[in-house]
Amino acid sequence: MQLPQKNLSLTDRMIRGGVSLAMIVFAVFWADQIGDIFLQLVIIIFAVLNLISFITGWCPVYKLASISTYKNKQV
Amino acid sequence: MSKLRTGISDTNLRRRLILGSISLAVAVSIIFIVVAYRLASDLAESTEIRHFDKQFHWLFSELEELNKTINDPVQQLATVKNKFIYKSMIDNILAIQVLPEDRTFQANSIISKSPIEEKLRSLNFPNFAKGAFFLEDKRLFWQFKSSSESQFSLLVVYEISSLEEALDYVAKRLSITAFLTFWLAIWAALTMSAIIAKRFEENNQKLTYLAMHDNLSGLKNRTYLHEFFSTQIEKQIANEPKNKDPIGALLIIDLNKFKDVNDTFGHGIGDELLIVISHRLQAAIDERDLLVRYGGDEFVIWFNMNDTRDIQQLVESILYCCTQPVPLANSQFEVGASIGIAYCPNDGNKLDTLCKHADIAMYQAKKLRTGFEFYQKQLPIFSERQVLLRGQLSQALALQQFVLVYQPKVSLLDGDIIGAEALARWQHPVDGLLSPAEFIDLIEQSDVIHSFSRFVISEAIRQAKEWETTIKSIPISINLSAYNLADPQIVPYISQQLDYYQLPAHLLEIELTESASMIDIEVTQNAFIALRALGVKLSIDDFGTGMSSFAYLRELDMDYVKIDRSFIAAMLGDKRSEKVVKGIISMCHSLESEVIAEGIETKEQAQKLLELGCRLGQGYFYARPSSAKNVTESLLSNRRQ
Repeated sequence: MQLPQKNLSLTDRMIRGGVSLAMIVFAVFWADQIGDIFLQLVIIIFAVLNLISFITGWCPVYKLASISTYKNKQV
Repeated sequence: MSKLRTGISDTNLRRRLILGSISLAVAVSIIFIVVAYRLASDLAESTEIRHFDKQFHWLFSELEELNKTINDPVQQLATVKNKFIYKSMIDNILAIQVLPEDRTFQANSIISKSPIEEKLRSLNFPNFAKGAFFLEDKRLFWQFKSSSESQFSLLVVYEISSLEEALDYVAKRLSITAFLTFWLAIWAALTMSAIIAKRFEENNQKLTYLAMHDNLSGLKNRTYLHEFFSTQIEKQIANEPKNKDPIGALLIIDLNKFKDVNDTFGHGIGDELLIVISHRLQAAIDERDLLVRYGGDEFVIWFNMNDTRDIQQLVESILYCCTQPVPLANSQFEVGASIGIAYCPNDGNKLDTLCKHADIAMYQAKKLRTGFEFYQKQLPIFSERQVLLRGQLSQALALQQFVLVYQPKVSLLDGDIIGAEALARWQHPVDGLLSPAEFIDLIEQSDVIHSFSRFVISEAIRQAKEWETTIKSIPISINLSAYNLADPQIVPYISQQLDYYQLPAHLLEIELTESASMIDIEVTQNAFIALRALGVKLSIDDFGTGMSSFAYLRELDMDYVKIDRSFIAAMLGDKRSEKVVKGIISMCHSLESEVIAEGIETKEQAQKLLELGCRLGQGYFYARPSSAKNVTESLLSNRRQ
């Protein structure tokens, strides 16, 4: 199966990686601060989605919006 | 060919859409947070007050009971506080007062009691009352009750802590939710704006395509050519002002017989023919060249001088593809083309000038039947004049600048006028009276041909009626070409005009001018059959000069055959010509057609024609073409004789 073409720049990926990591840490270790399991789950889902984008360098929303920050080019 | 700018950029629209969506998301988030906060605090406060209300009644009952045994309110409170169930409750009470003996408040340390005292002293309590107020940024709730049985009253002030708790919840959960919502909103905004911008761009591209392309052929249109020239060629010329070498050439291609096909076989076939020719031309040019449908059956090619081919090769390939038969509707159509070429910037650095010069060259090519011509400054001014005249035709017709003159046809035996041929003249406001040789070709190649023919028909019928009424009945002949006979409305029009002027049909004579562009003798034959059914006389003009004269004679039933002037002019000194004339006369008589000799200029010619058996003729020897008024005078003098 062909991998989707990258559409995230290195900076974009780093931001997503950092945000997703922070979200996972917050959701797991500060669960009492969140106080709601549903909210905790949503944060984790968000974090995982961002983590996937960080790893693959591809964002489905960018793809849908025909945007690309990869090499600072618009497609 | 590089791409031209396609109009409006969508960047601004996209930016605005994103900003708008994000602003909307922020506004919705703020409203959501405020409403949620207020809802949470209201719910918490109401629950807290209900809870406090119950506790107050329990405390009141307990103290009322103690009041029976213990008189000291402080001791009463201390006793109650020792009970585990009320301990936490009393700890949360800011102030408590047991009336009436003790007017002092018992207060917890978190708030100074004097402001509460001051506040509560201003209130006038009934037996039971409760309320809330703000003090030192705290929301306080108070409740008062007095016993109806004993002299015992209780006033309790309590701090409502639900506001802080609500804020705490909002700060945590709602902030996280708002953050996620905001994130989602940005994604949604990006997607939505991209989709809208994409649709906008697609529509924009479609509109640009429609504006820049010809609907029928799909080729670029005149607008594109102007855009291309102003954005690329004129800039190139401006960048190299000293360059004397041509940077390109503009070719105007006009299809020679397209009008015939369109008029005879209808616009459907005409359109299909144009599509086929467009594809062929597109295939013939280089990708660096530009092909444009300029309008009607005219195409323009911008030839790039960097093209690997010579312009001559291009022209030859264009002529070749235009002369190759086009198979359509079980027929083969050969249209042919005339090409005019003007070099840029040598023959003009503006598109209009280049087009004008290429048009002149094209017209020269059409006239000389050479296929193509390059524009030359020393080209006869006539060509430019003809281009000008062509542009003035419609206006001339509207302003009634065309007039008819009449050349009598006579009996060679006695010189009696037996008919007249109507000939058109153009009373040009600048150039004076123009002969048909100067404008008939232009009319036949233009859109005014049918209007012009109708004018000639109507005017000739009117004049014939006038002579019939005032002097004598003589037929008037008018010249029609194959173009006219291809018009399906021509016969009904003639019939309608004959009815309108009440002219007997035999006083109108149609002379078929043989045309090299004659396409289908069957169409002509059908028109002639219809005209004959009306009773109109028919004749063939300039007999012997065209290639299809004999075909006409064989296929069409003619009343008159007019021998071309060239035979008459050569007849006296040339025995072969005399024999030809004699043969024609003999043949026509055997076909029961009357012969009319054209261009009789001398008495000898007239006598010779009489000897050869020709009885009718026309020419300068008898009368030159002149106005209706002059012919009327001739007719009158003819009658007096």
